[in-house]
Amino acid sequence: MGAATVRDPLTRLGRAYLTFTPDEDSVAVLFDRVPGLSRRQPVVEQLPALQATVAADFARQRTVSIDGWRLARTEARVAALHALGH
Amino acid sequence: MLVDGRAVPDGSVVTADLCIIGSGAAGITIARELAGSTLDVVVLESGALELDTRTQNLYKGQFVGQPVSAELESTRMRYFGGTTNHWAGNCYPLDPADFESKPYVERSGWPFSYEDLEPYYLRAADTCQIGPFRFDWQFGVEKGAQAPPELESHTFRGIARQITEARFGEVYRSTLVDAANIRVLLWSNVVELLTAPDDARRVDAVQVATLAGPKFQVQATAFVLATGGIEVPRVLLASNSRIPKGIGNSHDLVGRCFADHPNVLMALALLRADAPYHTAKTVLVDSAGVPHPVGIAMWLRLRRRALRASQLLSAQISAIDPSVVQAIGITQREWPELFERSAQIDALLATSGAPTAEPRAFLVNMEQEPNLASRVRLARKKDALGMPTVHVDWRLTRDDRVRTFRTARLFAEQVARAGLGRARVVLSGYEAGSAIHTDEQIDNAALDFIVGSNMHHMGTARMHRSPRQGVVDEHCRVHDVKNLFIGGSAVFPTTGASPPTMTIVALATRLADHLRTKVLAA
Repeated sequence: MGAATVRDPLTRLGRAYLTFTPDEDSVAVLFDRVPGLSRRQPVVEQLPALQATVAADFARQRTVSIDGWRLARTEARVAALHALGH
Repeated sequence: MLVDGRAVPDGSVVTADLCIIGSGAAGITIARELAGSTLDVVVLESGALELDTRTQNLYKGQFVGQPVSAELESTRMRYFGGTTNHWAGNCYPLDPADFESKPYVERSGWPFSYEDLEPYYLRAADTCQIGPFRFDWQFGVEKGAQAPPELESHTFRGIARQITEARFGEVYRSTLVDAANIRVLLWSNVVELLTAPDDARRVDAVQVATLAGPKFQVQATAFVLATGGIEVPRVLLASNSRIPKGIGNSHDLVGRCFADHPNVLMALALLRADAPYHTAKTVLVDSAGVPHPVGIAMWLRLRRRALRASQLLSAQISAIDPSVVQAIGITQREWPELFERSAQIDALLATSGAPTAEPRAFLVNMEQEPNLASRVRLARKKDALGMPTVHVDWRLTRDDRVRTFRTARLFAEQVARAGLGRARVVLSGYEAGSAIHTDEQIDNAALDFIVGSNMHHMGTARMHRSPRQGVVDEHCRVHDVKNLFIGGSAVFPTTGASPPTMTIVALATRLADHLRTKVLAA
């Protein structure tokens, strides 16, 4: 799957997250809440490295529901950062 | 011996030690257990050996509560073998937790434990002609069925249902017909239970009518009413010529707490392409030296700890083939997501390099809480024999719907937690489901998703040690009556989420022992 087709859906996902989590509609807040994320590299490319954090989110029920999908809070935040241009 | 009830002389009286009303799973099981004994047993069957439309129409009535897509008369079969003539054959016992009282559900629990019933489940497995008494996923895997092992967790336990092809009317016909102590009267409809004129606590006889005209009575020492979860209250309530409220109804409980197993298409999952999908398998098992096919279907159930922690009731979950979705009444228009991929989730999963398979749908069968307002009651309209028809007012509570939603959400979380992919809570036809992001939002949500019926009719003559809370006692005897017993799912005080037939057969086996060793021993 090419990068262009990957990123648009993730932007929609990120925007949906920010819609019901307006207090996180800030790049600074989001980076602060996803430890280990680098600002020098596109955040989506860093998702594979965050799999342990994502798994821990599910294990501790740090999850969110977006359009009915049950997602880890971390991956939702990464999608939100992606939607905000990172 | 088979007897044509239409040939019994009008106005005559047939006598027996035991009269069993109904030849479905419960009635046949009891008769089979007593075949060859010294007891003189009469089995009364409304129909004959094959479906007869006029007889089947005696089941006509109306669903007046929760919408049900089927007509009432098509949900059961009224001839020898009863509803086992068209059942799906799913066998799985209730779970131990299903017998326990739950502090967060009023009227929950049985008057005995799973361990008390287990010896009868073992015999029921033989009667139902399934394989070894095993229902764990490992058993299913050994037999070639498949399911993602990662879904087993502290929340869910994998179970393997066994699916029998046994039709009781065919399998046990010769056992009953050949038994010297059993007479099966066909074409014989019980229209009223008659209490003794001098003792309202004893049933003297049953009034039998035939569509051909002749009427007669059957007198017996004891009676078992085994006509299913709707006809049991119908017969009890209609037996009102001497007791206006109907038999067994002194505390207004007959017909109440009607329950089904609501089924809901609850989740859509995008699983890793390499995850094993739920695949059923048919295998040959040996029963009394004769190999016969038994299906193995992989399901998940909630574990006891998860039930208690989240204040849930039993639930059983299985993957469902999309082609089946329409067959059970859900259209593509109502649930388009089933047939569409989610670009967002594909994209999300693609970032970790995991290809996803086609969308998979999952269905949940729920337990509903005992609900006095959900009930079977007599209607004004009468059938061809002059017996009142019924209104079935099936109702779910809001808690039932909230529990369904929460169960679906636990499943979606487990899919992700196990690294299998992601799942979406998409309760059938329910648009607002996607707008619920937090627990608080559930409180304000309508939760008006589509609920299907499994046609499991239960709870209408519920079992409880106290006559104020149950129609029958722990031995299935009607509290108000010394010699009247109920067989079948009408007595279930709490239904669990398991298919009911195996429990019906286990209870009937237990009742047969009780009748032989206690009630009719003299």
